[in-house]
Amino acid sequence: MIQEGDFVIFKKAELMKIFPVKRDKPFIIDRFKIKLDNLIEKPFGYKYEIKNQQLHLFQNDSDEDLNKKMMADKDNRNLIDNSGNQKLSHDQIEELKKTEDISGNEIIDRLIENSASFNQKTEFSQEKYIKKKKEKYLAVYEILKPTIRSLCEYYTLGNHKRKILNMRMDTLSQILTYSNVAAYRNVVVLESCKGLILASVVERVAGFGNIINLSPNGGHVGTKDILDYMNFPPEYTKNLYNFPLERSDKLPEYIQELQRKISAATDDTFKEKQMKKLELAEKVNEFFKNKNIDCLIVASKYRPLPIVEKLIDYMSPNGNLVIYSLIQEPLIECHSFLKRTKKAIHIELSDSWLREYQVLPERTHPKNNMDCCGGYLLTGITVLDE
Amino acid sequence: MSFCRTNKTIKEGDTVILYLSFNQLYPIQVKRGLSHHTKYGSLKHSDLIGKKFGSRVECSQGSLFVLQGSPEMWTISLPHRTQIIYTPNISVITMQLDLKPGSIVIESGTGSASLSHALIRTVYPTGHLHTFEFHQQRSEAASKEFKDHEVSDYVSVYHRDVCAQGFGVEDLADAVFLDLPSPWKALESAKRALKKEGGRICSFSPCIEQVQKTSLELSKLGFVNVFTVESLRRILSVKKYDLPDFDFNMDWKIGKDEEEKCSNDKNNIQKPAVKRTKNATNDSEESDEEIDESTSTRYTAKPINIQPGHTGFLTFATLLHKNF
Repeated sequence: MIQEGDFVIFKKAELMKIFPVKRDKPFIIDRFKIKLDNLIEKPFGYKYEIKNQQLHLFQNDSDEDLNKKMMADKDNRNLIDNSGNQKLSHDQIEELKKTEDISGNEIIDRLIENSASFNQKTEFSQEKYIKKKKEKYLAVYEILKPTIRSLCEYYTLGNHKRKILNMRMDTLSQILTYSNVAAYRNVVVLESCKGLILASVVERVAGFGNIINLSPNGGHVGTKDILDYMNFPPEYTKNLYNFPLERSDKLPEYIQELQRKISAATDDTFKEKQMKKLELAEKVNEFFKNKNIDCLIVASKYRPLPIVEKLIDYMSPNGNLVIYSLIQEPLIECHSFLKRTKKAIHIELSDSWLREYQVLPERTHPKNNMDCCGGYLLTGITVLDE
Repeated sequence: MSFCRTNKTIKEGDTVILYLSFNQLYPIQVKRGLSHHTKYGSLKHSDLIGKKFGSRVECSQGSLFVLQGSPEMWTISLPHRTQIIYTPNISVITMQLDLKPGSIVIESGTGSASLSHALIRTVYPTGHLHTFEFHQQRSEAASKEFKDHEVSDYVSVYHRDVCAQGFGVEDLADAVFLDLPSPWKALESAKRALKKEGGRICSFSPCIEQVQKTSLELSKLGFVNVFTVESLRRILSVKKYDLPDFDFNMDWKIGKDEEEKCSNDKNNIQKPAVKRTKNATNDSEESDEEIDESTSTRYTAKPINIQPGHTGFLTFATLLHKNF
């Protein structure tokens, strides 16, 4: 059920938008101004139509095309492509859209009435025509729960893929299995994917293990977005440590430096701040010094080799290492490093391939476009080889 | 809990993986008094107890690595009773079914329990797997494996034909996975088995005709967002690929013997002492020593020649809240 404080995803054809649910707070989507109060205490997944600045439950009318069989009585020999087929002018259509009491369905009916070619079309292309117009003129949105799955789609559809390093759903899912992330694991994550990977790790560890999120300067702003959308219960993030990547290879010195600062401090708030930093550094140091890291996931905008060279020594033997890169060359040098130093076995470099299908009676085929850029993964298992 | 929790050292009763190379992995259950014969000679189980997972173990004629049982290692080393689902598909299934610790998931059939182990790992320790199999021996074998792998608290095994008898449960699961010859026959019962808040369903089928029937039936039953994907993972082999430069200045008309002599001379000058023959079998672990820093930048990757091009279609759908 949707609660106040949750985030919801509005989805319509090729558009996805995320909003926080707050009482009496208006949002703008497309050209509509709406409040989300109607969604509270309602289940996720249903479709809503915007009418009179309000969200109304939309009765599902789709899937009628599933039962239609091919009818071969018409073809497209007489169809001529010209702009004169639609008798309504652009301005007239715009005028219709502005009329308050006319629904999207009625606009579509008018368009069909005024289309000279509609009746010559085959049943399939009539359907396609209506479907396309519906996407354009109906203000119907699916209200989705933010999950790792739907957020992947959100970044793909919204053309924000570069924000998550072009991470495709199947590649992300492989990162999670090959790293063996689960409850009771100690995981180190270094990512530049807006928190998508960190959030999936938090979800799979579910508060039963420890997660160290390394980032420049230890900032968690870069990973905050998706963690917020997921709205995890507090116990999920109580063992999440945001630690500066640049300090991770010289922890003992860093701890000494902090201790010096604390003993020299005169200002109480400054001292308290340094104490917090020290506590965090000591916690992280305990994992690193004891080689107690079970999973290392690297999917960042930086060259992975210098990072992996440093971090791999904190991993316990039989740990799982997964490195992601959009191109293969940075992973090839990591591959050579791991082979040469014998720090890992079962080292595999791979790419992934994902193809979606349209499945309809007598119209089953792969979708016309596919996302061909799923990136590369280097996976391996750390060993003690003395 | 050898498959779920991470212990650092081996104790008696653990299922461990003896790792020789990429395709030579042998799962054994450690038991004092037993020994295991490998191509590197024999290995006493008692020598393993107390060793760290991930360490090298000496046999009489060589050495190997001993690894902790994990779902991914199990998938590539398990005894096949049926066709199995491999890790790339398992990954997509786990993500698309929204699985996490605490999820209740139903699976049919159990088969060789490749997917089952991965599902248990993900829903552990607060979730549960209910797995159904109509073949009695397979069901019993899986049940024994779960016990040996110390995960039986997190899985219930049923010997049952779900197409004929249904799952026999109601409003229980967050997700249902079907790998059946006629999955459409089990959908109505699967719908009943999903929680009243709704949930996710996945059907794995090798043939498109099965997918068409399943998709149609899913829509008829009121499932939404039905979609089908294929997912593959392609392994690339990292090697040094040397292409000789063509010599435009050489007289290519001269006799064969002389030509060979000529090019041999050239080779001798340009590349002294390259360990060629050993490099050719770079896919296996033995070639570890071949990589030296000075040449690492010249390594490049190409897909391994023959790899799986089709495993099965994955059809997913959502069931919305049942009483809304």
